[in-house]
Amino acid sequence: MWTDEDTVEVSISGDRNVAVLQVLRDDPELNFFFLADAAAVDYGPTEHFEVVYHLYSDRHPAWLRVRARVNRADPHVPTITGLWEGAMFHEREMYDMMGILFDGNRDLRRIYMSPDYRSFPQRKDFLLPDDAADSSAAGVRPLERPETWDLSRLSDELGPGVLANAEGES
Amino acid sequence: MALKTPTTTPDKIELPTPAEAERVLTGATPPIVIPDQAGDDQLLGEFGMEEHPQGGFHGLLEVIPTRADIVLDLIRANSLWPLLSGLSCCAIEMMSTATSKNDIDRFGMFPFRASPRQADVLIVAGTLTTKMAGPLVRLWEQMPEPKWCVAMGTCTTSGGRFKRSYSVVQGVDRVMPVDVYVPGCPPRPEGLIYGMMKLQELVKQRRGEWPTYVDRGVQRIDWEGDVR
Amino acid sequence: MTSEVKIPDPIDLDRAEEARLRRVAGLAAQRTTPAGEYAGFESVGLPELPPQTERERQVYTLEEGEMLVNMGPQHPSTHGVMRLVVKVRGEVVTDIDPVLGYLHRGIEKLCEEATYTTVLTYVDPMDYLSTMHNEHAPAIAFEKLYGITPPRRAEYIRALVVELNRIFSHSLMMGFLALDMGGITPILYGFINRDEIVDMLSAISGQRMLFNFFRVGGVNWDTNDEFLSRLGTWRGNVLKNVEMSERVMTDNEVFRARTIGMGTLSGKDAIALGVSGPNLRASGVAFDVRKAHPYSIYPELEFEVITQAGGDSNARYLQRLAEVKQSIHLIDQIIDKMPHGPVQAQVPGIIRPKPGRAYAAIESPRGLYSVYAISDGGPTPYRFRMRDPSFVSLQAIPKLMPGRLIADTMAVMASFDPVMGGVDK
Repeated sequence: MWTDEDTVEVSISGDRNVAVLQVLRDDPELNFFFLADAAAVDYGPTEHFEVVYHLYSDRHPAWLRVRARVNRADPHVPTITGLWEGAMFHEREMYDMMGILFDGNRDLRRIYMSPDYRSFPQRKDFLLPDDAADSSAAGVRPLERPETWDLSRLSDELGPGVLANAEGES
Repeated sequence: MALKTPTTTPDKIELPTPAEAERVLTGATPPIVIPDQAGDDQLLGEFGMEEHPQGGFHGLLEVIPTRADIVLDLIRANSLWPLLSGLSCCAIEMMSTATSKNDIDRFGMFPFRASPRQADVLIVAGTLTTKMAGPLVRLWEQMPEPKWCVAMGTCTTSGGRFKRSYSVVQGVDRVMPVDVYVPGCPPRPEGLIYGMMKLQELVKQRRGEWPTYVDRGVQRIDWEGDVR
Repeated sequence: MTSEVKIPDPIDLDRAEEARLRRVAGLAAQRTTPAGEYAGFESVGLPELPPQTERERQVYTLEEGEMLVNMGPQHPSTHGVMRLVVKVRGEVVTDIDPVLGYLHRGIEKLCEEATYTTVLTYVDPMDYLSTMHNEHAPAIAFEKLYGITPPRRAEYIRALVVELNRIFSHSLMMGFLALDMGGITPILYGFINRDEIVDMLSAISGQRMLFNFFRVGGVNWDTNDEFLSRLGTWRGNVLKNVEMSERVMTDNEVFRARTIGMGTLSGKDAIALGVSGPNLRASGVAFDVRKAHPYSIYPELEFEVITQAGGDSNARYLQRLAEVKQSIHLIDQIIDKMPHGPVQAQVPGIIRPKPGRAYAAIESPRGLYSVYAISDGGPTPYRFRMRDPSFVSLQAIPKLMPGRLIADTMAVMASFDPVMGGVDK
C-alpha cells in the first residue's frame, strides 16, 4: 500500500486481479463501483508489464489504484469484462498497444491499428524514428525532399529568371 | 498496407510547343491530336476513328480555344462543391467557415456533398493516418474529374505536429495530388477562405495538378475581374 | 503482496538518474533503423498471438435475411472518422460493430519523448472540442508530480476558461444532434455561440481552437482588456442566445418524436459500461467529478449536481442544456471571486519531477477525463496515459442500437457526443 495526497495504491500480481477487483466492487463498505481507468505500463525491454486500474468509490475520498504485475514473456491476464463491461475497449487497447493478452475476453482484437499490423507501438522497444523520412508511409513525392520538386511549374508565376537562377545554383 | 498511386492522373503528358500551337491557330496544319487516357481508344478502334480529328473528346476542342471555356471555368470556379471529408480538428474550423460568421456560401461552396460522386473539391481537413489513407484515396478516385484537392492544416501539408508518429501520413501529397496548401493549426477561417480563393484562381486559369488540362502557354487568358 | 518495481524511491535521485541513463543507453544501442524501414516493426519477442477472430479478419456471419451495411469512415454525420459495420434486417439494426482507429495519431507515444510543457501542446488535438479540459488534467497531474500548487488567480482563470469551453462544447453538441437529424438551424446557432466564445478565448490565449494556454504551475497569460470586454458583452447576450436555440429544439415536435424513448440507458448499465459525464447524469446517477473528487477551486463554488430521469436522448439533450446554464452560473461566481495575484508559479522551463506516479481526473464535457503520469526523474514523462470519456462511452452503442432503425443510429450517437479525436487519441 502506498498513499499520496489523494490516491491509495495497491500492488498485486496479475492473476489475482479479478478476485481483488470483485471484492472491491461488491463489498458494501468498500463499494468501488466505478472503473475510472484501465491502463498498461511497460517498464523496459527486460522488465515486466503492469496493468493499472483506477477505481472510485463514494465512501472513500481517495482514488484507488490497483497495480497488477504481468510477466513479459507470457503476458496473460484474466479479463475483467465480467465485472465491468466497459473494460472491453480498454483491454482491446492494451492488447493493441502493448501486446498484453486477456484470457476470457471474447472479442480481443486490435482497435487502433489496422488488423494486419504486426507490432505493438507503446512498448519500450518500439522506437519512433528520428528522421521523418524513415517514418511509416514514406511514399510518393514527399514535400521535404527537394529532389522531387518539379521546378518547371514555378516559371509560370515567378518568371523565367527564377528557374535560371535555381538551375545555375543546383 | 501498400498504397498505390492513384491511376486517374498520369505522370507525364506531352504538351504542344508554342510553335505548333501557332501553326494550328493560323490553320496551316491539321489540328494536333493530344492523347488522353479516358479509355475511349478501344471504343474508337472498332470504328477506325482513333486518328480521326473528330473522334473522341480529344484534340479539337482542347487545342482551339473557344470563348465558352472562359464561361465554363467561371462557372466551375464559382460553384466548387466540397466533399464533406473532415477528419479532425481542422474539420471544426472548416465547419466554422461554412457557418454564419465566416460564410463560404458567398463563394458558392455551401453544399458540402456527402457523396464523392457529386463533389468537386476534396478539402482534406485533419490528420491523415495510415488506416484512413486507403479510404481517402478511394474517395479521391471516386470523385469525377475535374476535381481539386486542398490540404488544410499542417497535418495534411507535412504531418504537422505529429512528425515522428508511427501512424500519421506525413502530408497528404504522399497519396494524392494537392493543388492548394493552407497552413495553420488549425488555419483561421479567413485563412481557409484565402486558400479557396486561390483555388478559384487556379480553376479559372486552368492550372493545378490536373494534367489532362492542356497548358495553353501561348494564349494566357487574363480575365479582367480576376481575383488576385 | 508487493511488487518489485524498479522505480527508485523519491530520496535517491542519483540512482534514478543513473538508472535512466543506463536505460537510455540500452535503448540507444538498438536505435539502428536503416532508412526506409519501419521503426520498431519487428518488435523483440512478440507473444504468440491468439488466432484472429472472425471480426478481425473482417468476416461477419449473417443470418438469413440480414444485410451488412458499412457506414464508412466518411459519412455525413459530423463526429469524425468512425466506421460502423451494421447488420440490418430490413431497416432494423441487429448488430453494430464500431471500427475505430482512423484517427489514431500515437499521441501517448509521442508524449514520452517530449518535455512536460510540450506534452501540454501535444494533448490539445485529442478531444478538440474541449481543448482546455485536455490540458487541465495533465497540468494537474504534472503539478502533483512536481509538488507545486498554482497560484489562486491561475486556478480561477483556469476554471473560467474551462467553463467557457464547456459551454461552447455543449452548444455544439446540441447543434450536431439536430444536424444529424436533418435540422440545419441549431448548428448555425451553435457555431455563432462558439465563435463568440472562441474570439474571447483567442484574446486571452492567442489561438482559436487548440489553445496552448495551460502551463505546469498556472496559465500562460493573464486576462487583458480585450478579453474582459468581450466577456462582458458575451455575458450580456448569452442567456438570450441559449434561449434562442432552446426554443428551436426543446418543444419541437419532430425533435421530441425522434429523441424521446430513443437509446434508453439505465443507470446500472451506464456504470457497468463506464459511461460518465452528462450521459451518466441523464440516466439518473449523480456522479460529477467536480463534486465527487473536487479539484482546482470547485470546493469554493456553489453548485448542485443536475440529473435527469429517463436516460434517453432527450434526457441527454436536456442535461446538457441544464449544464450550460449551470456553467454560466459558475462563471458568474468565478468572476465575482477572482483574486489578484500572479498567474504562473516559478517553474523552470524544463521541469524534472521526482520519480513517482500521479493520477488526475477532471470533468470534461463528455465525462471523466483522466491522466495517469509516471515520472522517472528525467525531463520527459516515462508513461503518459489519457483516459478519454468518448472512447468508453462508445461501448454503449452496440448495446443500445439493436432493435432500432438505422436512421436512429446516428441520432442516438449524436446524443452521446463522441469526438473522434479523443476516441482514437
